[in-house]
Amino acid sequence: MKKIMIVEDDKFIVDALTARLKASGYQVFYALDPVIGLSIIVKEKPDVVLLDLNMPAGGGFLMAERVMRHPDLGPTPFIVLTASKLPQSRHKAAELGIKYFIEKPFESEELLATIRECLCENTTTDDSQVAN
Amino acid sequence: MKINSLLFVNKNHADYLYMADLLKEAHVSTDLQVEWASSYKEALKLMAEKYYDIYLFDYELGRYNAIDLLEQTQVSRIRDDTSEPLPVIIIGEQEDNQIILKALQSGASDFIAKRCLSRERLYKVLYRAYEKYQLRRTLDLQRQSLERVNTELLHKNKEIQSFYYTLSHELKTPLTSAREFVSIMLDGLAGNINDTQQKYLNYVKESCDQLSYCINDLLDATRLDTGKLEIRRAPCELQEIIDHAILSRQTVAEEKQIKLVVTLPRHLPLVDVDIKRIRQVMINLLDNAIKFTPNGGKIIIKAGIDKEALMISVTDTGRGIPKEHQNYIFDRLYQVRIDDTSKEVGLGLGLNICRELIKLHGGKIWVDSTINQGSTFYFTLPLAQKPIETH
Repeated sequence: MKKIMIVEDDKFIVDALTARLKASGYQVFYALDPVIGLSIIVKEKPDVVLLDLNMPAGGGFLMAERVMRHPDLGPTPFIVLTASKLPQSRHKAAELGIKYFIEKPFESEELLATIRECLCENTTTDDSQVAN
Repeated sequence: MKINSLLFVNKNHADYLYMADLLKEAHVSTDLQVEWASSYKEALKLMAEKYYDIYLFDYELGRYNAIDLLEQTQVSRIRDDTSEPLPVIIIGEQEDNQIILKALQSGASDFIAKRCLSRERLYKVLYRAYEKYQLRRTLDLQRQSLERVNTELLHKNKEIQSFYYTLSHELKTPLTSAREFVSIMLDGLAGNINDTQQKYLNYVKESCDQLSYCINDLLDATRLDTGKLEIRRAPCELQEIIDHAILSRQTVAEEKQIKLVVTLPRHLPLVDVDIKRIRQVMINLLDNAIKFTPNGGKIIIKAGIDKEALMISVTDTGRGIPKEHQNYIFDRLYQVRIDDTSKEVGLGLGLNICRELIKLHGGKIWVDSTINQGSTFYFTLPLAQKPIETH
């Protein structure tokens, strides 16, 4: 079962996402702030992280950077899920190499399709590494 | 305008007395106060204490000269509400071009040779320098005040912009969970629902979407207002833009049994546009047409080459727009209310955003309408390449 981590400070959104993702057959973890988020990611090593941006403790991007630099973690795919319309948010995501960016409110079909794409891509990368 | 105070800098007392007499005879003003500084140091001291309307410096000041004094007064910023140099006239033994040039470059207003000193000349030179200084100072103070206002406005602009970003974020967060919970219920993930429940939940979902569009419009309008909305152009097909708009509004049109007809000529050239933004324009116009077309009506979308642009039209069979309103419908928050019973939704920003987006692309947008027959909205888009002329 693929593991999905939600880092999001709005409890209602977390509950909604959890219900949706569980129904689609994923194992779901969540954290309401990036600090706890990082420790759960280190422990559970999720296959995808759904990342909110506007959060306390430096926000989503800072946590993403920490995850990317963490010695115990391999490449972790992120999907930004934000209500922010700031152009800087998109630029920053691109800078960090996060190519999946979904605006809130989102269509669940779009979110699920993006998760599938993200998982699929990540599996292919792993295979190519093995092949090399 | 009157010169009331003057500082004369000169190391020779007899020269000072002579100058005082000359000034009196020149009738510079009835109560002119003349003060004397006998050295470079004394001059600096007096100048730091108060402002004079005008300054006369003898070129020779012993160890220093008038230009040193002039430069020092600039450095000490003796009059610090303006960066304009003080009204200083330098008196020299003779007209030495190099000294004159240096004096003027250092900010002196004028230079007179001692042998040319006459009552008339002195009067003229003093008032010319004084007037010039006053004008320049006023101008400089105004410039400073404009700069302050400008900085303040830029700051306010930024604050407004940032307020709207925060507002949009704060409004969308609860909207996201509301909409997603509704979707979850509609998809049956929270148990079975009956048909009425499904119908009502669909209404809630649509209302959430409506709110979301309003918030986006609000943010776009602010970004257009503050010049922060950037477009990213690339060549694309009009067909794709229209298809996207039709697809996203098909259900709404079907609910009102409105027929959407698209007639495009074959082989239309590519347009050079920000596809997302032109889709938005197309959807806005289509929404508008659907909103004002009665059940069972028709909406026709056409396109064709118009000079060096592509012209698109959206025609509805709605109630039409009265002539007197046609000029204003693209203005912000303008909604035509024909009767009080008509229920308008939206913020009245849609057409305004359309106009601004089309303007950003260098195009035009306008309307042609007849009461009770319908309206046609036209807009033009730039071509990716100039059409090849056929002879």
